[in-house]
Amino acid sequence: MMILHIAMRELRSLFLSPLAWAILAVLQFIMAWLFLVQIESFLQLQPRLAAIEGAPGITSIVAVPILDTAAFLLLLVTPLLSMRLISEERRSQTISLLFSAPLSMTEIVLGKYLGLMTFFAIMLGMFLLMPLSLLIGGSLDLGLLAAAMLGLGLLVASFAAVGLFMSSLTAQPLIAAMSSFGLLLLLWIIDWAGKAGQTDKVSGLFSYLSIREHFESFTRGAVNSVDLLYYLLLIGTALIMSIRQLDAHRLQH
Amino acid sequence: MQVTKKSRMQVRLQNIIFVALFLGIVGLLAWLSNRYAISTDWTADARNSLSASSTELLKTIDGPIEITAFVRNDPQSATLTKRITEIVSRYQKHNEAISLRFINPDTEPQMTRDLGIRVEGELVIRYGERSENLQNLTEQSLTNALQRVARSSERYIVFLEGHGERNPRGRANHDLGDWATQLQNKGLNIQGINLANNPRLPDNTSILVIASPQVNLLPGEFSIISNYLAKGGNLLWLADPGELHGLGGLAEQLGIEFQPGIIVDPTSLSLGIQDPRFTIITEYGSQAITANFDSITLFPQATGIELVEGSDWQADPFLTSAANSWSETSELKGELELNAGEDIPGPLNIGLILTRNLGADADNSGSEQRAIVIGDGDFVSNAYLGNAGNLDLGLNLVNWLVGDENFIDIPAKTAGDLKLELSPFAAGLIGIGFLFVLPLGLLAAGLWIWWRRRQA
Repeated sequence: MMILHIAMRELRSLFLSPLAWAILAVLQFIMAWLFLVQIESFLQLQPRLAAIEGAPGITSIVAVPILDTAAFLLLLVTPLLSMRLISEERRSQTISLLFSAPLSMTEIVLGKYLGLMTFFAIMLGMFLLMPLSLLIGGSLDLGLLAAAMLGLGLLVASFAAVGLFMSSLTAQPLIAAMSSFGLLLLLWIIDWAGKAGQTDKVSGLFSYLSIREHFESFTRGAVNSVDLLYYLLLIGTALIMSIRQLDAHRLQH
Repeated sequence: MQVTKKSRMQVRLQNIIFVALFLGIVGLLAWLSNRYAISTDWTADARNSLSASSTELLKTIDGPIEITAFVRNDPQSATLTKRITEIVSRYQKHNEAISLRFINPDTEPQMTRDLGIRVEGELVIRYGERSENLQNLTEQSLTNALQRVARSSERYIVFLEGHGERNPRGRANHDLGDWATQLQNKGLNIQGINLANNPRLPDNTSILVIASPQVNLLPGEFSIISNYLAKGGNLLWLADPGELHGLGGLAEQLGIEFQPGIIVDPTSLSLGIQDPRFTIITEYGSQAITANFDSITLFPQATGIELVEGSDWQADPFLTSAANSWSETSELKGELELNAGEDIPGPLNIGLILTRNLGADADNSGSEQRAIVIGDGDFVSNAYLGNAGNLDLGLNLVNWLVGDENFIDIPAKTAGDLKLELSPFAAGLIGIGFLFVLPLGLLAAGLWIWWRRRQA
């Protein structure tokens, strides 16, 4: 119950700042632009697709690429939204109020996380409207779309969890933003290190750690436990570490 | 609680230990998740899963199958590696005895040469003694390759010898050594037989090959072959233009007749071949042998084959020369042209598939007897085997004759969402709505909230 209360408070403060609205507007514009470009290219391909064996459909040609791009856009944007979650409270000393309230650290962290995730859910819902609008004039592979959306949701949830953890480490929102952006980008490109497809141990580890690698199978509609658990472990780790960090911080007060 | 230096140290130590243990557990869970993976396929057309025919086949294969992929070790090849890993892993899900390893052809040139790797991304599939190369990886090609390498029964290809035939162990230009080696790599046994010393064909003969005899067969030898055919044995007959050397009876038995002359094909000149006797075939029928065939094949000095009415064989031409070719009956000298009345105008059949249903009383387990007659023996000889699609055709012929062509046809997975028909109004609505109305609405809402808060 307290968790929901904190989540609502967080969501309200997000929507009271022009930043969230601006981000929503800009991302929506970019995504719509890409969406129209993909539709254009699909319409050009369409006559030839019927002749190709095993041709991909609208979902693979239009929906999956834009969700793929959305993944990268969100990598850039998430740190901006997550940076204030805890840093801001620290900087403006409101964190003492939270500490003295009858709340466990777990409730605070989960509440704030839930608030941010609700914002992202709204954003992803908005993105989802675009491929769904094509149902007016055609059919979609809804299973594949659901898999890609699930993948994107997990990816964003991981971004947000990492951002939250970084925000719990410092009192400076900008530092939190920069460090979460750095860490996420590192996770994004970590598999480039051993990228040669050779299945040795080290590059295998790197490609397992890569946050983007696991998203790929979702975009093919192949949902598997390895990728699902990777994201859940990453989210869980980041949240538990954030809770520990707050606990430690509280002790020093 | 009194916070002292000591207790602070303790807290710090506890923290470090906790983080180490916690990350250890997370790592362990990640490792376990990789060990016990479950995968699902959400696509409507199940494009990430194997079709039923592949999974059925995988159930029947036991023993290790080694798949070796030859891919370079550089970033450009990463997608290829990924694709190969992805497709093979679908198979590994159903059969754990399949292993995949990658070899870099740049660092292993010797091995690459020995295995006859021609393109990057080529796979070598090995099962026991047998191996097969695979150049373009699709579910259909891999399933069929696995089926071929894993076939359990022994196949014997028997070559007739003793009349100057093309020798399956010979190295000369007109011999068949290279082709026979390729067949052996596919797990087939090659055997020569001289009926003069050994007057019966082995019972386990899968195919009898008669490759261009140069001297006459003895009547006794002929009757052995004739009996073999009558009893339902499979035959591959490579005949060259000219004399049949005592095999005329065999042609009668099969209900065919060789046309006189040598086929002259003007298309070969346009391809820069200076010899008009080279017949080029670019189009194939839809028979199983040439079903997925797209390379050209080259037949030096071929003869046309005609069907004779009223035989009990079902004949099916599968190699046909171009419409502007003809069979030249006079000497091949000077300007060649089609002389009406003397020469036979094309298109001419160079290759025939002959099948016959065997009654249940036949002592052959197969229900269908198969024979192939081709009016040229040079196309699989050492000199020409490497040309265009000749080798593949030569291998397909044998596969079909031993009955291993029972080709697993895996229908291509075509997405169901291929049609998009937007009325101009709907298209405009989608375009303007998502690109302008929605972003501007969001921006306006943000500005309005910001302005109201400033007023407050």
